[in-house]
Amino acid sequence: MRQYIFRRVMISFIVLIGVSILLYALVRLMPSDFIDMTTAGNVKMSDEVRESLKEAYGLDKGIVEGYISWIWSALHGDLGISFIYRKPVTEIIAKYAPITFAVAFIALVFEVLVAVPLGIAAAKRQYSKMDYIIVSFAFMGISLPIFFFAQILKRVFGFYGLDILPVSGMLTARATYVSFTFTKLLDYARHLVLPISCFVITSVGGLLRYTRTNMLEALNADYVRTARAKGLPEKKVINKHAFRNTLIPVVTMVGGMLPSLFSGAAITESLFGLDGLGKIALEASYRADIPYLMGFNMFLAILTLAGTLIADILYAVVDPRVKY
Amino acid sequence: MGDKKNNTARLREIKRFNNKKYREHTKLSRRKNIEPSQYLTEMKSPDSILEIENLCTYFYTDVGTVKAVDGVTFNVPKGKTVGVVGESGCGKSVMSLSVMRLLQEPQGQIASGEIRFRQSSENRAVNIPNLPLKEMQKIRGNEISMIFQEPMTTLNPVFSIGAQLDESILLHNKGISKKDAAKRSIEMLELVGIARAEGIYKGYPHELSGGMRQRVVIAMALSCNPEIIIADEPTTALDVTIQAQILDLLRDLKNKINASIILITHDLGVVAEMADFVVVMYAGRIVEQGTASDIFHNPQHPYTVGLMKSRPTSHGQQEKLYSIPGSVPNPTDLPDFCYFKNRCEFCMDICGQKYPPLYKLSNTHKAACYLCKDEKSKFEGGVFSE
Ligand SMILES: Nc1ncnc2c1ncn2[C@@H]1O[C@H](COP(=O)(O)OP(=O)(O)O)[C@@H](O)[C@H]1O
Ligand code: SF4
Ligand SMILES: [Mg+2]
Repeated sequence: MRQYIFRRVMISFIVLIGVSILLYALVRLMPSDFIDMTTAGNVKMSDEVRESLKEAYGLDKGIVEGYISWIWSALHGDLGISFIYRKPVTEIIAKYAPITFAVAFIALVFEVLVAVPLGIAAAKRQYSKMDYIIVSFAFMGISLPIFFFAQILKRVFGFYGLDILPVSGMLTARATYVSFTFTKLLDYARHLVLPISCFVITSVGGLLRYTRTNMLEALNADYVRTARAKGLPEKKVINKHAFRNTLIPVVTMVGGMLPSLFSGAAITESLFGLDGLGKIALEASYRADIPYLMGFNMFLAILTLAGTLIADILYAVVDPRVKY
Repeated sequence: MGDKKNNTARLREIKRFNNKKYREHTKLSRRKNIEPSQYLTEMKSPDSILEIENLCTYFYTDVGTVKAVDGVTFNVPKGKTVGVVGESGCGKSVMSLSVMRLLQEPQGQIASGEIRFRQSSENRAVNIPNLPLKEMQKIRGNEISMIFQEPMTTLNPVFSIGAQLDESILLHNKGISKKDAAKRSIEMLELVGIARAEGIYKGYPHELSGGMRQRVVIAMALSCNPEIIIADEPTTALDVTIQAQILDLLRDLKNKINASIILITHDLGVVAEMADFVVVMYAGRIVEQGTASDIFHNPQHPYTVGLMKSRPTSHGQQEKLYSIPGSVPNPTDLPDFCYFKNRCEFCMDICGQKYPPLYKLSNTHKAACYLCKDEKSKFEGGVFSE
């Protein structure tokens, strides 16, 4: 097992190098760069000044040269200075990652808590009214555009509607908290209700339908008939024999969902004004902030690889047939 | 064009009918507080443990009603082995799943008939189709247990062999300790000829071969000392050499335990060696039944004779294996006359008129064929005494 993990980490490292080459090429191939964008429309800006600015930002170098200097510093733990924020990218990531992590983790927990029980309930009574309602709910969530749904939620629960939940930001603007108290935590929580509900409702469908499909397959499996033939009560047949087998693919899927939670954060955070990595990333990609984009995307790539590795390890935990 | 329209109308009609059947079934199965008087019954014969009478099990499918079992009647005497034979698809598995109430519901339903079981633990007789699920669960795996055809998929891949064996024992023996259950499981594994039983007890199904898994399934079926064991083609999925070993085991066990066995197979050789009584099924009905000697030495129905002829013989004289021409009729659309008619070489005028009744040839022997009407045996001497 330890050897397997070591090997996987080594392979991941090579994959990351490949990913960074691709990413760098893509980011540099964006039609216009940071200087062009910031100085566009500024008549006083001469081409000379522009060139010297580009030199200062390292945008005068070719893609290959630029990449080599980026990766060289990256390997030394330096991801460069963000063009927009004028701060080291590592510092920005370290500062805002905890918020994104917290939101993503809470969203993941809720997503699993909603998707798995509903998927099982639907599978248990295939083609019943309950099944149709649950599956329609899942499809509705999948098909709702997130920005549209976010506006609906804001309208209904926010200031112009029921006025029971804040629609933007992390904390109530006027409130000042001297120390971390329960009221502060509650304020955080109230601000997260809408973003997390929005995210969970629009993305829960995939996992829900996956759970349902796998549960249906398990319920039709021979070993479930054997469990019934033993005389086990139906509850045990479903919650023990069928569920334990459904868990295998579901765990793998949840492991793979980790990175999509983070990339999804870009949209959710912007829509609800949460100060997380995703919101900054969206802004950075509008303005071609190359160091930040590279840093953020490499961070996502690492998460993706870590997610699949965790999923594979969990796979071995839940399925005795898998051994590394 | 018109045909197509008719067809959609027909399919819609089927759908409506099926939905009605599903609803009725769901309503019935959700009933609470079923009075014992609704499922208690009397056995007709003093020495039988299971009496199946006029059992009809139908599948309400999108293309029509599949009459998988249609009016089957036979008895399983205490301590005896009944062999059920017939080609693939003739309703053997459905019949046995009906006894266990393990049909795929609500598509599959016991439409009518009785399955009377002498539940000696409670000192009563029950009609299985009417039993509440809770009562049925006390019988399953405890008084009636089942060995399935596919050992590779019968065991749950994520639980250890030991856990799966213990589960039955703990379930049906209230108050037994985990340690005693484990001890009993290991004894059972030894009984079915597994060496190194303690190692296997800790192992997982995927570590075992098909034959070993089938032994585990047999151990599981025997673990609560059942009164009846239903073995549904226990060797069909196995290699020939392993088949022989498993059959040896079953034969050996038959003498050790005093359970009744319903042995389902399409291997007449196995039936000849093990069964006391034989039931021959064709397209959901019994075409011939009798003692093993009735069936083997004096088969009357052309289908039984065909099955006999299509057995591989040990002399190896026949170059090509005989097989009955044609195939089993479509079970959604069965005719009113003898189902075997278009495959039968003895077909007569009367055969196309009405489904033949079961003619009684002796106290034990019956066959549903017009050839038996005048009681003069067509196949005198039987096939074995050539
Ligand atoms: N779940 C099901 N749905 C529809 N038809 C079924 C189902 N199970 C069995 N049948 C039908 O019932 C008939 C008998 O099947 P079965 O009892 O499995 O035959 P066998 O004698 O080979 O065990 C077949 O025609 C089959 O198509
Ligand atoms: S009833 Fe007629 S068709 Fe049917 S098996 Fe007998 S002889 Fe053949
Ligand atoms: Mg079968």
